[in-house]
Amino acid sequence: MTTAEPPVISVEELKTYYEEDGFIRSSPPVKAVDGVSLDIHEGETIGLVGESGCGKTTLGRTILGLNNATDGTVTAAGTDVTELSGRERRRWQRRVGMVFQDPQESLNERMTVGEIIKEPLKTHDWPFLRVAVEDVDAEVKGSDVTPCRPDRAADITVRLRSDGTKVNVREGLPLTAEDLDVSVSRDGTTTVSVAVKRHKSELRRERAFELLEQVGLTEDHFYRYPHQFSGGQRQRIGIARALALEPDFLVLDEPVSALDVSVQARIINLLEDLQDELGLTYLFIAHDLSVVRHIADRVAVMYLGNIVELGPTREVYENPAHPYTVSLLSAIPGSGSPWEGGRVTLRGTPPSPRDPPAGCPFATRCPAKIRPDEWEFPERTWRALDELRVLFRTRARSERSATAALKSLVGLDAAGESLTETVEELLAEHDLSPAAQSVIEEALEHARAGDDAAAAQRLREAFGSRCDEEHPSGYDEGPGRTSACLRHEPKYESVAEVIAAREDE
Amino acid sequence: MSVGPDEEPLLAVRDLEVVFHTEREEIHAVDGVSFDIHEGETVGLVGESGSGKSVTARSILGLVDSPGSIEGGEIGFRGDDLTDDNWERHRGDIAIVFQDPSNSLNPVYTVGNQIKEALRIHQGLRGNEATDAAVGLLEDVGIPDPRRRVEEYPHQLSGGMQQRAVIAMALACDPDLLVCDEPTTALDVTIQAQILDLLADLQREEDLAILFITHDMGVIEDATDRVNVIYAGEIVERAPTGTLFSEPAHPYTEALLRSIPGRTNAAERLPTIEGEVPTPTGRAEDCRFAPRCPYAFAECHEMPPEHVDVGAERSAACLLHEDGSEEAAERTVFDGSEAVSGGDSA
Amino acid sequence: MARAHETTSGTLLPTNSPAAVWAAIGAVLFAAQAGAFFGFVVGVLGDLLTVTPLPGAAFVTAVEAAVEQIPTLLSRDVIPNDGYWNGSRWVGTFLGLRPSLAWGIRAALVYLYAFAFAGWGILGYRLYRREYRTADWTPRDDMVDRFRGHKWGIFGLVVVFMFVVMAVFAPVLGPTTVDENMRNSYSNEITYWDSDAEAVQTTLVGEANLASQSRGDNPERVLPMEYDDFGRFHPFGTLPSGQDLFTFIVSGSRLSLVIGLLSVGLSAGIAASLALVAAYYKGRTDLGLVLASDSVMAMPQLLLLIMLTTVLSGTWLAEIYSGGFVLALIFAGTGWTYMWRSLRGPALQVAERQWIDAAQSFGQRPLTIMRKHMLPYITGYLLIYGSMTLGGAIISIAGLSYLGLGIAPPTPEWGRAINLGQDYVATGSWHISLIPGLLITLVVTGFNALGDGVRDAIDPQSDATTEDGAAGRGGGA
Repeated sequence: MTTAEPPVISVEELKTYYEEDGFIRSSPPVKAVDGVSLDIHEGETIGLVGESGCGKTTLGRTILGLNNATDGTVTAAGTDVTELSGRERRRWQRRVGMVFQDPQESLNERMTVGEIIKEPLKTHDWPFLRVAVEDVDAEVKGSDVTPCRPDRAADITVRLRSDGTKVNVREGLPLTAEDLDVSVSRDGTTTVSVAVKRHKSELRRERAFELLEQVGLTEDHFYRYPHQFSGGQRQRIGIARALALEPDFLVLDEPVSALDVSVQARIINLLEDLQDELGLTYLFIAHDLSVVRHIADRVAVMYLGNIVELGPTREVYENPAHPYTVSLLSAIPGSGSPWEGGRVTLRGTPPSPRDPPAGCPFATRCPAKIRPDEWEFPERTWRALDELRVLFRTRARSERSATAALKSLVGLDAAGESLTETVEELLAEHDLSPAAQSVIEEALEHARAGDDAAAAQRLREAFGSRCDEEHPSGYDEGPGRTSACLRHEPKYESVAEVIAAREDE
Repeated sequence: MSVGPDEEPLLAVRDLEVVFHTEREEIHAVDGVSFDIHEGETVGLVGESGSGKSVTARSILGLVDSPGSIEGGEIGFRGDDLTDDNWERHRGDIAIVFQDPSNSLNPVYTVGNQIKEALRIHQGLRGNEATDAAVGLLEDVGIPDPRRRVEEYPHQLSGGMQQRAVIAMALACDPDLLVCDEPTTALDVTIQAQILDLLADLQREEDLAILFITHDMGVIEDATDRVNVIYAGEIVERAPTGTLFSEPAHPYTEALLRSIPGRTNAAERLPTIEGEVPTPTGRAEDCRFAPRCPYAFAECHEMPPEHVDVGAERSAACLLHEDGSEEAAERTVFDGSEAVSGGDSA
Repeated sequence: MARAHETTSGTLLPTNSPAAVWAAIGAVLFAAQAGAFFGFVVGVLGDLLTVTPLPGAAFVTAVEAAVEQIPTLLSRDVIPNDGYWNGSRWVGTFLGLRPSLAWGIRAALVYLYAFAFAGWGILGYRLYRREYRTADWTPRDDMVDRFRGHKWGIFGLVVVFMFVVMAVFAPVLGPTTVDENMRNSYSNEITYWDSDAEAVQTTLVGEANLASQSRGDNPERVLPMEYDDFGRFHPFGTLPSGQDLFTFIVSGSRLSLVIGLLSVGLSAGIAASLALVAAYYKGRTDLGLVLASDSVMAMPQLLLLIMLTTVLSGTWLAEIYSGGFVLALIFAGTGWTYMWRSLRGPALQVAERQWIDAAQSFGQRPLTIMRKHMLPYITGYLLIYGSMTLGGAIISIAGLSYLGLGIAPPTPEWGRAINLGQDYVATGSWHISLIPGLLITLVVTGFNALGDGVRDAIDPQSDATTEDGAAGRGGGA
């Protein structure tokens, strides 16, 4: 795929926030997708990786129209699909399909496999049977057919020739010219009447059989219930359903995560085959990096609602630019891992999407974080200080149980002392300069007074850096590669060097 | 960690059989499983779903409920056969960590409360003593700010922290053997790395033996010293981890390794195993893998293979390794370079 | 669509199409009692339609008369029991038997017929399942099989079935009719053997009733399974007014059943629709509905009932089912909240399932999603709560009639029977209050038992674990 062609789907600064659905909004919204821009080109497989809570599923769902976008656009064929609603949105959903993660859960157990696959067809009254008349301006009549608009592809083409009318049915429809009755009348205007000799429900059944075969199942399975199939087979059914309406674009939300390794391989092969056969474009969402490496042409790495790195798969895996990608790759266990260096273990947990850090979202855990020049600490000390900041931030955000609050009110609370203890333990083996010590004392004062947020703020003022202030935009790291890290600016050491140096310490 | 062959194993499972009697059929979920675990080592049990690995874990802890029951074999722990209703005697010596921490933790009690419950039962601690011990345990498992966390409810902790809390609960009884049933499957890969590191540290510090059960080959490779591969209720191969991954001796192991996407070039098709995992509804009368095995020959369908030694401290249950078979003459160990037929089937 | 027929059906008849045979049997069965079935339908709808301008009371009476003409096999004409003793033998009863035996035979045959019809239905289901259905297994099969083995549930089903039969065939089951014995007792005559005069006499039914009252101890009472002085058989004895209690009860059952079904049906319809809407849209819609239902629940049902019954008495609304229709509406209007609450939980759980997402992903309409993908999963709960609410409705109606608030007299209703007999409970005429009381208890227990059976049968746990057979297949990821 060349970048010269316009992308099939263009996502720009997309934001999807989950608000609390009540009459009074008491907590800040969950910023699931927080400003994502992405172009998807025809025929490619773009992998979307990240850990839980990074927003990759929400991104896929917003593109599909299952979630409402809060801001930004998703443009497909010139229209912003986030603005669509009702019938228009359903029209869009004909052209995208989605394969879900859990094969046990994504199929309605009470319906037969045939009914499940036919359902999208029934919903949209497939086939549409668009009739186009070539060469002549003619009216199209018929109860089962619709006249084809000039910008759409026709299902049935009628050519009016001197030696008779020629009827052509496109491939992909379980219909032949013999099933149609075409008659032409010319008084004043030319009218072409098309009658379909077969019932639409019959055609839908045929299509379902066809789909079953395409995904590697048989006609018999049409009559059975999902319950009677294995996980891999159910996922095939899910794929068949997603392909029913002949979409061009599929969103695959962790399609193989719930499957065993051997079954996984078969489904991945099937997906690749289908892509070749039907010319599909895939958005492949996964947390398993090895799978993504195998199937994706380009990969986008997400963290806390942002895309932190984007590029051709091989290059990103062999030469990751962003510190998060480095940690992610190094965390893959086993010799099948694409990473050859040492493991860079991240500390702590991702921040809550309700309260993302101002500045770089990865700042709280980054192994390559830019440190302020004023202080000269070894990396271990910096890490301890980072933990201290996280500690205060978490305390600031957490709710205290009723008993704990009561205790502190009455003064039974040993929290003040325990806090000092905790902090002392944390900083025990670190040599802090008196200036640093006094900053920490100030922060402790705030915390003892109950204002953990102020404590965190104090520490940030003293020990924070650009990473805490600025939200990095994507830097160009090569053809088709972007990475959102401040270190890519020429004045800083490169990510790889810094990580290596700090790991050695 | 090298172990002398004549050291008494901490846990010796011999010919374990667990059968589930349902309305429709009898399922031999575990059909003659044997393996050892020595003190201070990590042994892996790897298999896909339906292989019987979780049932094995539960039977070691005595958690098999009707319609299933242990119908044969023995589970020797320090010489006692647990299947003789001896689990009560050894409660506290063996602990288990399950897959989904949000299911293992009771949402209406604080984390500290649950750890203290275990402490009370196994070490008789109460009150402030118990709280201190709980805080200490949370610290040991790497939870920051433990004094605060001990008062919190499970839903206030992230997935990784919850699993750490579950490990702390398991450690509260000061066990000799820790059974981990897919402990990191529900966690993200970076958190998984943390938990694996934690388990390795704990093993060193407390001299724990760990039985690590999972379907993730990569995790097994990193986390274990020795591996048992289980298929349809039977152990098909045993080996030290490194050797298993570089020179698998059983066709199933080989096929499993091949299926891992990371081991195949991105441009090539993934090799697959045809067919489905069978559900064993009776005792084995043939090799259960034979219908799917690319190397199967006539005898494979007629008799169940016995374990045969194929090297230092390793064995495999495959007729290809039996002395005297023609096929054995051609090969003893797979070198992983042969192509397996890459077909898909329904 | 029927496959080529193998011997799996085990039919005795060497036939190619068991379905045709089955259908023929059904037609014969139905034809035998067609008159009674139509009579029931007309009777139930008639009351409703009488008050509407279109088609009007005249039309209804005409239809009723026409229906009565339809020949029925088990009818009062074929097996009469109201004959008289002429000194040497019984005249006018079935085969010259005593009225008690004649009545007993007719009642027994009616129930036999009903069970035969039910058996025919079950046979048809099994035939369909074994031979004609393309799928060899559906999720419903497990539920049906589980219910089949549930003894308490089967007991409930049998009791409920017998109650329904009583309601449907009420005119045939009683030893006499409401019309003859109660409504127009002074326009009808009976013939009887006067033992004093040693001759056959006639008298008005109303007069006979006056002489057969149960008001205390002997001789002023007619106990169950006794004849009165006029040679009439009373399976349940007589009321203080002398009317036959059994006829009172069976015709009252019709009203209880119809009103119960109506109120529960309406309730369930409202509750299910709102539960699905709340679960699908969640958020504000759900919150709003919760507030609405809480407000409705806060209304005092009894007070509302009394008030509305009083206000509406005399209007056309209160005419329908002698006030029963108003009752049903009020029950439905205030009672939907409990069912909605019970259904909301399961509905919310279903709404979280991934197949709902999947349906939304290809653009399925909300109403269709609710119907196809959510409703089947709450129908089980609907049946459970519905059957138990029905029992509750029957008790409520009886209680209200006992208090004089429900069904307007003189329409028969079980609660009123209890009321009529309450002064005589401690006397020799204990049967008047006791029998309807026992019957109410039995019927409501039956409904609850049925609900229990259905609840155990649909046990969603079993649904979910059948694939891995309670970790029987090794569990794992």
